[in-house]
Amino acid sequence: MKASRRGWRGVAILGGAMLIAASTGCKRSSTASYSGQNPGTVDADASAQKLEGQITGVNWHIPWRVRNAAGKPMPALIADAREGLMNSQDDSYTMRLRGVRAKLFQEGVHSADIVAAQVDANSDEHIIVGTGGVRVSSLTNPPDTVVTADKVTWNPNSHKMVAVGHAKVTYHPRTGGLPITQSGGRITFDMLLKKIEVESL
Amino acid sequence: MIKSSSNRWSLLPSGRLLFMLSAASLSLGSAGQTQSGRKVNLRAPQTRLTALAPRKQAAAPPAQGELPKTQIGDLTISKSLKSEVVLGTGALRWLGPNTEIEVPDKASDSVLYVHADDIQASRVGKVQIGLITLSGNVRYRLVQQSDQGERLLEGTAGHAEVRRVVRRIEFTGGVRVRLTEKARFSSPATLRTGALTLAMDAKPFHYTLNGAAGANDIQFTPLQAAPVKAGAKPKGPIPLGTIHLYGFRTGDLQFGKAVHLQGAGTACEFASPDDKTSWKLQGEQFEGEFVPDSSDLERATVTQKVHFHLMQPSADAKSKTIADGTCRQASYVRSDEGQELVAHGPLNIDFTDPQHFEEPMTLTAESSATLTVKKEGESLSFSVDDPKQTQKLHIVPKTLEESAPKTAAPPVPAVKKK
Repeated sequence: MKASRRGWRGVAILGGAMLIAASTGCKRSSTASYSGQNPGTVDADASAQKLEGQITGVNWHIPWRVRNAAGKPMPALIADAREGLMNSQDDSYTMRLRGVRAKLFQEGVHSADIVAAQVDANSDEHIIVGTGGVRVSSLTNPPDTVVTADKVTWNPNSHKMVAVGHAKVTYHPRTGGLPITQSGGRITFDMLLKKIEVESL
Repeated sequence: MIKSSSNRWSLLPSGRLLFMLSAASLSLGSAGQTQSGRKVNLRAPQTRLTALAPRKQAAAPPAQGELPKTQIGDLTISKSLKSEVVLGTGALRWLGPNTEIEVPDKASDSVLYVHADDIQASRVGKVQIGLITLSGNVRYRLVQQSDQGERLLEGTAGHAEVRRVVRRIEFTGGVRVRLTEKARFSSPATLRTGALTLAMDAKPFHYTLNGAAGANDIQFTPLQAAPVKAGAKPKGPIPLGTIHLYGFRTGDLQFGKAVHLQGAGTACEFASPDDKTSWKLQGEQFEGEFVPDSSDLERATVTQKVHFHLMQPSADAKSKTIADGTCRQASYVRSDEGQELVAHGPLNIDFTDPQHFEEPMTLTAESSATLTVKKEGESLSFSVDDPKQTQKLHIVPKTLEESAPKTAAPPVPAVKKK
């Protein structure tokens, strides 16, 4: 059961890593204005001028390792971003990465790849939002599964991933057979129930 | 504010973030600290201070109106409002009033299109989508390309199951079918039944009907051969017009081959469009044979509790000759010469001919008797063959003054003695 959740649960690790990174890299800023707002819709121009506690940079490389039960460090996430921005306000931390390519690992095994034009993470809402064209490729479970959409939102708490706008998922049934391609306005993947729902917008 | 480039970050196992910058120090609000006063472990050899220009997020084109669509090999499911799949089980489901599934069947060169409120698909054995279950306002259309042209089968049902392994479609819940085939029918055939199984592995398609006697009904009009010359009679047997089969509980139908119907009250009616002669055969078992590759009924046999009814209007359409009776078995044969009905005794038949009989003529006979009714052209003749001479006739002819000037002699059955 644990192994079966490897692939898609790994997707949530990206957000977890980003939130941890945000919480350890910056502290509160009295002028930050990201808190409580959707990072994907915030007026970045206005906010950036007010922020003093933010960290920005290019060519970010984020290797994240965790220790297994034996205490041996194992890769959990390797993310590369063309540009990055991190800031905080009060107890809220946000991170924005652009030009993101990430590899997700579960128990040291490469389990998924993510490519996104932009990824936003928010510690308050505990959600990770990929926008501008997102591609998630699960390598392990479900194997050979690819989700593409204009926007993909991961919510680690609800264990759901929602792809919106030109959303498309292609997967191979575990029982074998031809690949199944589903497209629609919104695709919801429930990682606990292992259920994919496709809806019109 | 920290602004850097070529930096590398690393999360230590302890969870602390380590900025792995190449060598040089960063430009900080105060050296070694962020403006919030927190110390960070930073190394940067070639840190380049840049301003990260916040960008407006690329606006994706509006995605409204995108309806779910699923492609599984040659299967296409579209126009649903919602679809869901449970990974592992392989079970798929689509919901929405206009959900459409397109199911090609290469072996029969046909494509089935079905609309339903709820469509589910699941694996059967090694076949990935072996069973498709459709519920709620099922509307279907089956298009088949054949040597004779296109066949179109369309209709409605409450529920349907497409069994791809055995290539059968089962419709239930009030099934209505409209079959259009220009090479076989002069107008679309209609089927109405409680449950219908369509066997696509048969050639032509085989229909199995099942339901209450009042719910089962088949009507079709065989294509009539066009006359060689304008106004001339077409070659071949006299056309039957619309053939109506009803009152049965179960039935098997394969146009161009045979039809078998069972159930008390099973009836077959047809009428010649030329002289309006109508035939009705009723019994518990009906077996019919079609002219090969045609929907023209060539012969029919009705057995068990048989009731037959024959009506021929007079030339001036003012009176009718009617034969109405019961027998053990009745066989109808149609050929180029005409039509023939053979009724096997015991017989109990009334002949009504107001022009010749004061009251209906009655014929009774035991099981050894056979009544033959022949219709050749406009002539209608009756003959009884009874080796044991068990037949009894009761005739009340009209007086000569009344009947003689109007018509020829009445068609009293000719009795053959052996």
